Amino acid sequence: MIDPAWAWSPYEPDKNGWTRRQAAHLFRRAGFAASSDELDKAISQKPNEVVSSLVNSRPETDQYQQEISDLARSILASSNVKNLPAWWTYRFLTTNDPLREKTTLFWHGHFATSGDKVTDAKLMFQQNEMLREHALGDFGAMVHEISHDPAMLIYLDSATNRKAHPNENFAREVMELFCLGEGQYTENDIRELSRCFTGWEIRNGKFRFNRYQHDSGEKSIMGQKGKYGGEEGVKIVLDQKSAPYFIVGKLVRYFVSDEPAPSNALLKPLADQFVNGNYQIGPIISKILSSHLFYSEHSVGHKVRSPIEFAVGFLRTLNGSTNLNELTSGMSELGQIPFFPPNVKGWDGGRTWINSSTLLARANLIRSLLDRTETRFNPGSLGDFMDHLGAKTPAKVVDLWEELYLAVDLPQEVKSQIANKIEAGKGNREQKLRDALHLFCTLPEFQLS
Amino acid sequence: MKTSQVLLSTLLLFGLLTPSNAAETASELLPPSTLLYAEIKDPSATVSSFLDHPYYAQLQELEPYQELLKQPQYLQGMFGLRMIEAQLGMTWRQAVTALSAGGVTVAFDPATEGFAVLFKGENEENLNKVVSKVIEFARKDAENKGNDDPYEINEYRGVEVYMAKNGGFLTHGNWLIAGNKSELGKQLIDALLDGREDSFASNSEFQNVRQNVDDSAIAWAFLNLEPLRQAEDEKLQQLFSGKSDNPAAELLFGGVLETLTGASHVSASLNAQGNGVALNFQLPHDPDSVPELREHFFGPKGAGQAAQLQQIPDMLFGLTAYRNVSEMWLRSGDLFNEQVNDGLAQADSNLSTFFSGKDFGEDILGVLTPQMQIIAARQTYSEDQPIPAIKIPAFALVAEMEDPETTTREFRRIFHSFIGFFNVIGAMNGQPQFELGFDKFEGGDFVSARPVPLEGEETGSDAKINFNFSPTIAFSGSRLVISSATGLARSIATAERPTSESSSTEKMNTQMELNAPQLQLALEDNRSHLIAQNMLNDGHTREEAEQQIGILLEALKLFEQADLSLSTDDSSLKIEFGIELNE
Amino acid sequence: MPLSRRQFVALSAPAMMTFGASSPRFLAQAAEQAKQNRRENILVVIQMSGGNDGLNTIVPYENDEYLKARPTLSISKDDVLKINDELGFHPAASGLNDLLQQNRLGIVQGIGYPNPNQSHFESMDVWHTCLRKSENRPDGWLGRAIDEMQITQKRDVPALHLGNRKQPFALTSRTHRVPSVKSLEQFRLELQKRESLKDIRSNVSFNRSDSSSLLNFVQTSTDTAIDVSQKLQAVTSSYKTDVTYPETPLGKQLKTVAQLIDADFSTRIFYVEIEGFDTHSQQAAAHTALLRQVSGALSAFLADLDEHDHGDRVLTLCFSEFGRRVTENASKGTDHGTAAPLFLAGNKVKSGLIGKHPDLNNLENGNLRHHTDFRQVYAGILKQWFNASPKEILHGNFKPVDVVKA
Repeated sequence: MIDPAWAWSPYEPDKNGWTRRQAAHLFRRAGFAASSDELDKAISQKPNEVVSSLVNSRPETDQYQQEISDLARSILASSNVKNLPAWWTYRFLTTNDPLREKTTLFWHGHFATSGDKVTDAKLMFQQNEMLREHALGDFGAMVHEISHDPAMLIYLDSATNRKAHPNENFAREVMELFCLGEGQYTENDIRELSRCFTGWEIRNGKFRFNRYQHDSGEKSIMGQKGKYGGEEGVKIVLDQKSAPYFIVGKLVRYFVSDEPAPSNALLKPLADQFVNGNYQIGPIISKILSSHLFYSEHSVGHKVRSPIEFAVGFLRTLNGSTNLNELTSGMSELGQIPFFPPNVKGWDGGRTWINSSTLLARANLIRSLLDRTETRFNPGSLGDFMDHLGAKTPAKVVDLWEELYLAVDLPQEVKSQIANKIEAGKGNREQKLRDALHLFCTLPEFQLS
Repeated sequence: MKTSQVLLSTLLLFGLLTPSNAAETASELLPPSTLLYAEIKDPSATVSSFLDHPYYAQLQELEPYQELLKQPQYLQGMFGLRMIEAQLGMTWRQAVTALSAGGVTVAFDPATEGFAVLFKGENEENLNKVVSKVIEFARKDAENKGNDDPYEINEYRGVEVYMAKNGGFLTHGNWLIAGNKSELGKQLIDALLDGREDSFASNSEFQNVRQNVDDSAIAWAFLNLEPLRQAEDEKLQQLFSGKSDNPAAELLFGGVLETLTGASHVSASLNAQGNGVALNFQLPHDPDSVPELREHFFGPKGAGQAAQLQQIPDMLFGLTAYRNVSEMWLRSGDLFNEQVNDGLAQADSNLSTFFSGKDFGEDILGVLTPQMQIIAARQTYSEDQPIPAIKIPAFALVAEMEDPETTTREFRRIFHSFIGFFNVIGAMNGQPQFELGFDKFEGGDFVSARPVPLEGEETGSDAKINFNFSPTIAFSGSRLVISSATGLARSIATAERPTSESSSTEKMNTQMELNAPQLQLALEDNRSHLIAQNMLNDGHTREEAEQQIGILLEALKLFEQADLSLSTDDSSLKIEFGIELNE
Repeated sequence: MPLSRRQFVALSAPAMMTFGASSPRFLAQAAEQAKQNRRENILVVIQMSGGNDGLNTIVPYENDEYLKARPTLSISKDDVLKINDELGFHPAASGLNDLLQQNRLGIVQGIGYPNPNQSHFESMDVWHTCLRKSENRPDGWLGRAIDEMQITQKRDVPALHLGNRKQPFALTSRTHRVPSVKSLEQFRLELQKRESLKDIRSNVSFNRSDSSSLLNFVQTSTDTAIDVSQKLQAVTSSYKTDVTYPETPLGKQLKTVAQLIDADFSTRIFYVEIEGFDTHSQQAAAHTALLRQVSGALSAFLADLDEHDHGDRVLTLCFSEFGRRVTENASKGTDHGTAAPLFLAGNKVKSGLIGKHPDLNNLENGNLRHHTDFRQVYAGILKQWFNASPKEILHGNFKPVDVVKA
């Protein structure tokens, strides 16, 4: 039983307590892992300062934003939704505002919408931009936006909604998946809420309200009665007691640990703050990332790396770059492609990432990346980069990898075996290093975050 | 084995009796069983003509080239080269001359499984000077690295042979010969010492090819096909079987496969030509023996001839060919295996559905003559229309109708239902709708379909890729033009038609040309997308990507044209590939 | 004894030796699991996309209405492979005919559903989810079956889709991710020649003294994955069969499935597709080619399974989203229809014709009326083959069709 008061109180390390290892943990969770330089910068600040700048500042330069939007423009010009994942992966890999991307990815899984069904790249992209804008902002505003979002409504077969046959799909997801969770509502609530959304339509990729099809009669939702429209319906759902618990619970699972599911008692302080703070997301994430719980044994090493964290983290940690179209197409075998969640529930995460097929795909993805000529580190050879970072002996290389990549310590014997590969493996030095890194990435510890 | 030994000793004996005479060409040294013979006539002249060419100077002017010169690897390499030159006492170009003024020949002899490279040097003295220096370098290098002497010296009939890991080399007179099999090496030494009565030079086909090698040839080659045809290699057997088992391959080079089944040899030459180079291949070919099965490619009795390529202003790409596609489709049962035919049966079902129930082979393909052309051109876009973000060149099929009156009506109707079909499908997928238009020009008329922009998106430069397409069909007399864009259809339909040259015996089967300046412009139109793709595909930063695409686009400016042709005459089939540089 | 089990012991032995007596528990568990996998029933689904012409597959060759409706496409009495005095197989379906002779093919006739939808996509979605468009469809029937079966026993890869295309909706599960693989290559650990599998394995299996349950789980899974890779490699490189599969994509895929089954893979549901059945014009040649592919690949598959002693535990279901219109169209093809037969193949399958041929004199808008709901077949498979509860999985009570021999 974890004490909530202790759990959410700010983590204050002693003098030597704030280490590169801990900063690496923060960046694995709050972003897509950090390079050695980023860690040095982080430990020169206090942990709460680092978190505060992650949550509050928007450090992407205008030039970077321009570069990203030029890339997007080019992708959208192809009108092929399958090209979008590479674009987002580029952003995961290069942004200096990683928490925003990480949280946008969270909302993308929460408000799952798949390009497989929507097929219109532009609509998927617009939704993505919307999620990014609100990622650390107002949850209520985001739900409001998503309920008008063309991609979402198309995905849920709710592009038309006539008063004679209210479409329950969207109403159901608003309660079950977006705000409350299963078991917090009745089938009648869904029917009534769906009446609020009648007349909401998508025409030519745009939302419009068709007043002729809107059911303007009285509805009864969650014990409240009135001639509600869609916005008011959403408001009623958001005002339910279970809503803040549902959302902060998911955030805790995303940022702290996959299992066990956090108890309501543990979530209460966060849920209260969420309600009192008018559903502002940033402060909640800030609190989570600065907490005792976050840096405790309940958190460190207690998440399975998602495929995106795995692939992007692999590169980001060593300032890597590669063919991103290949990388993202390879990621389908790992079980996660951004813009293509498997179903309305999004990605379950945790242990479901892991099976024979995905584990072999993980090992093979790293192998193929290491074998590609486009794969560069900082941007050059792995050997030169290791030298640059001062890891001149095999043992030091393995120590560095462990420090940068792993949440859980490796057994000493395993470390020496890997060092031995660098020392006495086959091929030239670069090949030996790359083979050793491949070996390193197949370890069970590497799959944990 | 035994007989060859006997033969060899007989030859040796015979050779001993004949006075030693210096061989003029490598072919006089090589055994009659030689399979491949390739010769670079004068490497140093070739190197010079490249390095002294104004284009090389132009290339050196390019920024990326200048960047390259600053690379440490380059500087190191240059330093090494100058060191070697100092040791040799001659420039590297002089060294190349010393080694190969009389040509370099590469040969393969399947009897001994031996490869040989034969250099005929400027003179004995200079040749030996260079070779001994090279040996010295190699030995010093090995010593510095603490390795063993890389060469073991064997002697055969007084000639010293330097044996290394994978082969050996020797010098004699102004010849430097390297090879991988001692059996072949011995034969070559014998020939050097004694001359050779029965050499590859006396092969009559080889002689024939050699005589016809043009003076402008930089290099040329002869490959004997008969041994390859007999080989038990699965891939080779497939190649010589005459079967393609792939409709696309059949369409592209079914006829070449046909010719390969009977040709005794193939020859090739690389020629300097005007402002460029041309690579020619030639195979013996008998037009009278073309089987019915391949008439779709060569025409009845091999008499099929492509139309003269229609020229239009600013053409990007043009292809003209004689292909009776209908006949190929109908004969697919004999041309392909069962699986391909199963696939074609399904395609036939789908295509017939698509073409409103018409039989694809007979009613669609069958109403056109076998003279087909494909033409592509860069598009221009008008400001009062949505301009697509990705700009795709327009392409068109140009064909002649057997029965213009009926076919014009049929195709016009099919085109209408096509566009209707697209509009229905497009409406379901949220794609722009097409609007039909009709227009007349002198001697013919058009039916065109224009994508209709959505309200509020009538102009702008970020339109969907769809806005590259305004499918158009044009009829003018017997000519049919099916084009992806109205502009191109118009420009083809109204262009002056080439007068058909009824040429001599030479029949042009296929001719293709690609105009580099237009290609350059077409790519330039999409520069920002090329940069984006480069960033995503190569993991480059924006700066790196900009630089790389910049080089590509700059380098293209050096070229004028690339062309490819396939033609036949009474006795041969020729394939010619040429690249022409910019004036 | 098939090679794979020996192979497994041989492969595990070095790892066991590395750890001496204190060999990790999970290796023993894995061996036990492999044995268990060998006993479980397996379902293979072959989806024939585009709408198979049921009337020209199981042909009512004596029926006047049929002959009238199909002036150019009907198959004559002399050409059919007779099943009885009324019905016969299309001549290209000789493989199916053989299976029927061997008592290994169930032909369930007149399959469909009420208010049939004639859009490919929608009808396919109905078959996949058992629900209509107006209903909430988050998952597919096989996905729900997986969810239920995983409760009693966690399998590494409970279902597998083979092919290049989008994963079939039927396999979508709310809690389990079904892999789609293009080829067996995806189950092979790719190594450079310089690398050794032994190194990877020994570092993965090294006994971590103080590890969390999550780490333990990943470690066990990684070990299983390496195992799968090794076994598949051993099986595919040494896999021998006297059966010659047709050199078609479907033939290759079914051969892959046979290899996976023989490798003691934990998968219980395999899904493959063949498309092209949408024969609106020039149907005769295309349909012949398709039926030849399906029946050839299926009969080879069953022979291969039998040869490797898996014939009794594999059931194959072949279905299409709808049949085709009774009357042929002017393009010598047929348009979208409704009821059609589906096929069940396997040693344990209740063989023969099941249900009547739909009545050609009692059409609905020119289409055959179904008499058996496809969900009744699903119910039979779920109940009799997987011992699962059809009601929850199919969202309703459907009287199961007997699919297994009594």
